[in-house]
Amino acid sequence: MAPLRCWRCLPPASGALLSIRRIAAITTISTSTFQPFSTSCARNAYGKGAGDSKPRKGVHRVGGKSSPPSKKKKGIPPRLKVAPGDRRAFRKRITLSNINALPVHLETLDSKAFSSEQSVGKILALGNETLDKLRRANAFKPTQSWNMFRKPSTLVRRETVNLCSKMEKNAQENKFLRCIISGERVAGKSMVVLQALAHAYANDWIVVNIPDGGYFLSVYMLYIDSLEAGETTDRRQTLGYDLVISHLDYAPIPNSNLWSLPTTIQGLLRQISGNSDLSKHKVVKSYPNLFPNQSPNLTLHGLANSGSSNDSWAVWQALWTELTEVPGRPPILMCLDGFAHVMRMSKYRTKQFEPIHAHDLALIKTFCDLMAGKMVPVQGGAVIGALSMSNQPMVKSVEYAVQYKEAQQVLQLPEEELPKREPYCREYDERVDEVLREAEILKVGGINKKEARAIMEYWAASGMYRHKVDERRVTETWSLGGHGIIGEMERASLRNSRI
Amino acid sequence: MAGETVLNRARKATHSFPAGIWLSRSTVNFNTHTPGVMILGVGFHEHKLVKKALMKFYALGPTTAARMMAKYSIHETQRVGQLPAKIVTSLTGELSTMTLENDAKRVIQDNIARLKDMNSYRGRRHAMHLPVRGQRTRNQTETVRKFNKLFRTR
Repeated sequence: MAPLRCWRCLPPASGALLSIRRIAAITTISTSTFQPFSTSCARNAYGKGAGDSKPRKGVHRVGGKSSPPSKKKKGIPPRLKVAPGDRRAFRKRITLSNINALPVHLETLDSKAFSSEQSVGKILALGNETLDKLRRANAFKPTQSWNMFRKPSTLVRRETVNLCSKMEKNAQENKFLRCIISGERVAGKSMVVLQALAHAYANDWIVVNIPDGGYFLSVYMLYIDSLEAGETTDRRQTLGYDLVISHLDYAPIPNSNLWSLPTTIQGLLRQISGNSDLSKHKVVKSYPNLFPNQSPNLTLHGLANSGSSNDSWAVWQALWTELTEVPGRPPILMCLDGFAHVMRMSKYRTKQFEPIHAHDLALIKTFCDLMAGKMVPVQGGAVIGALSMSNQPMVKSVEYAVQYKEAQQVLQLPEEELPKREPYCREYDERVDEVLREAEILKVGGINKKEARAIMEYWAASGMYRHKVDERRVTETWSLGGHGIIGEMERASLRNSRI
Repeated sequence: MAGETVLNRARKATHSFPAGIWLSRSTVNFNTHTPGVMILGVGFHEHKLVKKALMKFYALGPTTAARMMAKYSIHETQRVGQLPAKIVTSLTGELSTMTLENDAKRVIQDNIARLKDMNSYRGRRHAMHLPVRGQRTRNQTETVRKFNKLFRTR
């Protein structure tokens, strides 16, 4: 039998008081440790001992009496049970600070930092206010390595500045940016989305973030922070688990082919009202179906908050009308990570048991209308859809659109060399093609060596990377990380040295 | 009574049914303290998935359950406790029109009895508790002995 504890964990034999039981345990372990062979297979073949003729579970037994169940041993405390949802909550927890890491003094993000050319290659800390807003918008992911550093900070890379400066320019000209973010796995696509969100928050935009496209289609992925809902009584509710699988209800919207996700929309309305300063803006149009006696002092904040008591889809429509059709409002940013999930048939069914296309879910239709250019907010803004390479469904139209746009916009190939559709493939979806036709593409690839050096120096200054950061080390890590794929660089150096 | 098993209690509780027909063990609610949500006279715990609750009824499988859920826009992870009373009533109304439980078992029994009455090969095989569809009988006929009976109970 293998020892249950490693030898280093055992107490020192000299100079310490050992109880008889502990000595016995050590003796037992030591004798069994030096067995030159293993008898476990033979012992497990039939029950616990040689005299026990009870066959193992799963072994076919023909006739005969089964032996009585063995009595439970007394004196052994029952194993503590993990409450439902705790394991998942532990797995999905997001830790944004590590008190064991050294603090690093960095510039804090301001409204211009992400769009300025001078910031490329710098590490910027996220301010407390932005941090709270990003957390409420579920912008952080458990797979990102925030839990290794004292304070959330982020590398400003070329792609960040390209995107944020475009957003800024479009907003100044009241135009709307429609952008898809593609790139290799762990290249930092979600991080660029987070930076776009942070930039929008720093510039007082209205922000709607949908952290995962699978959120709508997979019934297991809805993650709404229940703290916002004021539910702090139950520990599990505080962790947000009870809201995870229980509220993805759907309902047909009368007089249309669309379907509403009432509770999801309520969650997003809460997110918008909590994160953006909507109380400065008053409601201009009248909505008699929502408010029979509409107060002239009703603000957008009040409108968004009424989603919990009113029909949430009607409130969403009213808020969206106010935000997109009334001039003088702040620009809008809508982000959706893993957007390939919402470009296919959903798992929902109509009353006739036919699958519902994801674009027929009303909330996703809003995203698609923005992306396709059917809806253009008067004050401008941006809609960003990021692909996810670690969890991506096969959607032929999305694959083709991304390939085509990369060849056209990134590689700038001539017309005749652009990829063609497979002529006999029937899996292309016209609705998806229409949505992606006019979108721009932002390819997130590897970082350059200057940026790599900046991030590695930050790791070293935080005490998380215990090597001298010089040219040789940077080049080595950059090469090991597939020419600067930042997630691979982390895996090759930072996470590799974790104790 | 001390030492009384759950199955024995089920047998006693259903002794008034015709010979050979019991309520399936799964649909009988023994927990009298918390009846939960009643669907077609059967109490389900409020944490039970609607899909699982529907499939507890004999002769109602995954396809029918999925269709019923789609009809009332119930998503896959919805729990019985989250159903509005109106939908519970509708589900009960719809289930009451279906051939379920003892009715469904009777249909199966009638079918087997018909085969036996016409003295067909399949009927005789049922009566002899032997495989009906040409399987060999040398080994592995335990399931057959359980199920292939003239008065089938399961």
